[in-house]
Amino acid sequence: MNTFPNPTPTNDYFADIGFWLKGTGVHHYVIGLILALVLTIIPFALLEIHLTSKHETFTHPFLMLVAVVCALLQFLVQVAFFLHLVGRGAPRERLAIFSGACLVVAILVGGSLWIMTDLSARMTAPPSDSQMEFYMQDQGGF
Amino acid sequence: MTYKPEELAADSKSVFGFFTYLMTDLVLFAALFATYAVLHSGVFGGPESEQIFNAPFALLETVILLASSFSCGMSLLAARRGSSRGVLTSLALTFILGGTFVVLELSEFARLAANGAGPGVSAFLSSYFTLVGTHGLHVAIGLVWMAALCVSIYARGLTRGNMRKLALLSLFWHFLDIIWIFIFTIVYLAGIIL
Amino acid sequence: MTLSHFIFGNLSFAALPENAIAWGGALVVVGGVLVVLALITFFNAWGWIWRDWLTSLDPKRIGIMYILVSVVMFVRGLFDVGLMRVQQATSVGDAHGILTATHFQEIFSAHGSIMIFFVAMGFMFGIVNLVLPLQIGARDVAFPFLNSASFWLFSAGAALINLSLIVGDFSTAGWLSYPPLSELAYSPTSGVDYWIWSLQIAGIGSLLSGVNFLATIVKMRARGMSYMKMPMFAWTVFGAMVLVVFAFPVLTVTLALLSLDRTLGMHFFTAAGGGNMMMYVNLIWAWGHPEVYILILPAFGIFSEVVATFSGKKLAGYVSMVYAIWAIVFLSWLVWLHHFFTMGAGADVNAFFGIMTAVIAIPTGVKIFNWLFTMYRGRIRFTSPMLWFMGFVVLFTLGGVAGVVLSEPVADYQLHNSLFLVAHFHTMIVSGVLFGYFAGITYWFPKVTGFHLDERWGIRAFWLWLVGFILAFGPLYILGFMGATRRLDHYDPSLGWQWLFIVAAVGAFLIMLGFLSQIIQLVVSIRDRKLNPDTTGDPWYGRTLEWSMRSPAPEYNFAVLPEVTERDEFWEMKKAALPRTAPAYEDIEVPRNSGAGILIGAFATVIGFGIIWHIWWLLVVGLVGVAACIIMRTFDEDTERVIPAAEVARIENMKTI
Repeated sequence: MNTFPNPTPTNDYFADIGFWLKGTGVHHYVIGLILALVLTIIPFALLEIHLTSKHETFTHPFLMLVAVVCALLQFLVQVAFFLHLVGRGAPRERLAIFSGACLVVAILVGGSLWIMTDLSARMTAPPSDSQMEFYMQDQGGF
Repeated sequence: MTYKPEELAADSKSVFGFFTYLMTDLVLFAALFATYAVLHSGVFGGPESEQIFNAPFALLETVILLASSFSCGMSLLAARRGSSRGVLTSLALTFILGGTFVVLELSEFARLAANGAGPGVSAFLSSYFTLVGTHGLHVAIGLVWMAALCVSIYARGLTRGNMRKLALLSLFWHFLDIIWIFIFTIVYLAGIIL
Repeated sequence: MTLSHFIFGNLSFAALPENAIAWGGALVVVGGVLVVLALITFFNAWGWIWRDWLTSLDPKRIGIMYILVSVVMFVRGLFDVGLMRVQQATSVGDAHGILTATHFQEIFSAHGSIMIFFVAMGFMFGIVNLVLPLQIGARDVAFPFLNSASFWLFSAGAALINLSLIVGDFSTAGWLSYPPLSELAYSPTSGVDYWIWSLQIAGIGSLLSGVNFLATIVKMRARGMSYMKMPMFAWTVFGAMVLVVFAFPVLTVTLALLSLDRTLGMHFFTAAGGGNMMMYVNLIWAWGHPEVYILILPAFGIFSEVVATFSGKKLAGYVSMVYAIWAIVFLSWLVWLHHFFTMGAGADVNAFFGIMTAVIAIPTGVKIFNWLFTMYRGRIRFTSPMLWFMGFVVLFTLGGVAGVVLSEPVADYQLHNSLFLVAHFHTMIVSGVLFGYFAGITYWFPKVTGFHLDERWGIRAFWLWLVGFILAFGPLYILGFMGATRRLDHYDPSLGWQWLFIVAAVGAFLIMLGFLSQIIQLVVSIRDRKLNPDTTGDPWYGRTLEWSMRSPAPEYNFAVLPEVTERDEFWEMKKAALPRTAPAYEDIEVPRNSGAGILIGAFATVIGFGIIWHIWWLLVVGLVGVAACIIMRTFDEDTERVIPAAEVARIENMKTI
């Protein structure tokens, strides 16, 4: 199947092989760089403020949430602006395999964490009698 | 330069194949991340994450790698202009930044190993060194590839083969920066915060 | 470090075999290699072997080499079976059979590793190489050099696992080497390292093949062949390669982590140091479950082709078959914990994975019904490929039902690691994977070689395999319910198990006769090749594009690349009975041969051997060698050669052999 997006060769080799969209320019990379820098500095800055201030400025879960959200956003920024995976006319096959990989990653990491924390919880000290009774009633046994 | 449709189709095939390989690398790193997530609490009485991780240092490495990803993108734009000098300049800058990253990382590893926090001390350190070290190894291999490509461009100019290899190298390089996003978040930031 | 320790690492004379049977194995390997080398030299065939085979980038040649290596490894795997069956039939009460406990453990570990990695995977990649480009109307795979490198990495792994017979020992920790047994403290010898590195190197070859065939399907289908017009075998290969691409990196990581523990003293899976051995079990099965679907999906594809052709009807339910493939691909990522229900997880975790395991039986059921619907009201020809299918459909269904029994965690608590489990998975692999590949080899043999396999010996082989399998594994289902666990090297006579093990041994012997029949079939077929030629290129009156050129298929596959408008395009072409006009031939570019593939394989063997025996300078040599081969290949601009149009015309007009 003739599956590359631009059948008539132009002067943009990279667009002709479906590597990036026609009209990709410096501005793509500059926007990507700026966004990525901002999303990098935010969690580090918050952490620095938290560590150097006299009292607890932020809670730990909040810092972690900011870090994770910034990471996921920067991931999308780099995928869009540096890897050129999204946008009109972007190659569908690469996006399809990328989505498949992300799905597998989510299942692998999520599933492993679920399984291993479940195992780990079952290896802690045995519960007291009253805890045991509550668990048996609440969970319906093991 | 214009190329024949079958040449462009062949190169489009190479881009897809290499991208598929990068997706296998994504799953590889996912398995290493899963291992780190499960084993990071296995400190066995040894050093813990907030004792050994340094946020400013991680920020420095992050910015250097991000800058190298940008300069790599610049090399593609130079290639589209047909300027092999521009390509070589951008790649040289990328190489220097990438090399600095590797040197910084190695120095950190050496410092940790010398201070009783080597990879053989605990499961936490084994998984830290392996995850971050595998990323660093990929960067190092990328540098070797970059050097070989620079030699080829210097000797033969911006041939179709070199343009294709440049495209693949840039995919590889950007991919490594994407993996680093998760490393600095899940390893360094989380290691200090939690 | 002394000089001799630097040069030889951990190698010493103590690494040579320890008992008569082990010496026998070593001498067979050494002797076999020497005999082959001597024969090639005697027939002055080095030039031919190097040019036409070892350095060839033609997937039809590479496919044949994959199958030949797999056949050789099959001999070793079946020999392991013989030893195990004799042991378990005779090691009762005061008798202790023919093997020590340690040797028995090495043998079942080697048996499983070889059969999965070097027989099943080898047959699979071999058949895909031979058939896929032809079926989708392409001249080659996407990356021919990578294809050669993958084959030689596969062979490097096979070489390493055979070297373990000569120097050193093998792992005693089963085909998956769970820690802590596989860690250095409990397996201090070279055995587990041989296991790790032969699988790691072969696994990288498999991963690269996955990338290659996936790109072939996505980018190289003939003009007009949309996805929904692809033959069903191509669809199953598509699903299997997606699984390869996503599952094999997990194997790579897991093997690497175990080797880091063993070789560099890290603590991923050791209790000392805070490691977690269950993480190994978790990761290895996250790979291991997709792996079994990687093996079975192409076999399902082969049956789709065989059943449609020999029923003279189009495949029933094409669309539902495609959906079933993707349902299997997706679900195979959601079931892996069913391999370790009993290892400490709670009820909610077990329930989720148990339900998903039961669900994944459904798309397979859809496929079985579609094959039966295809046969219904067809004009069925009972050729040996159809016989393999009939054996499959009965046995695989029964074995699959046993699998649904095991999918229930409470039942699995009783049956986990019993012989019931062993019988279940052998039923799936033998009647599913092996019967499928046997059918495929018989079916496509004429296309690849230009002549038929002897049908009489094929039918004899089928009946020996079928009866042999039932006798070999029927008793194991019963023994499992009676409480027999797997990997037993000795048991008490009061259990009353011995007669069942004796029946199983008889069955195994029949299977070996079946395999011998297949070897005889091959020899007889080659001897009688002028009597059974394929003169038309379409010996079975097939439906798909691979039958549209002469047999054997020429190097370039299609003189003129086909244009497709329908599913079963070739069938439609024949129905339309278009007059054959001589097409205008053009020059065709094909890849040049390359010796870099075999060199990469050789250096990979050196890398493995160096790490296993801690011979670090050898490791460096191997790494530098592989790197040099890769870099030199990337600087090579002259990788194609041209077959001129006149030569194409001559080949097309040639009489068959």
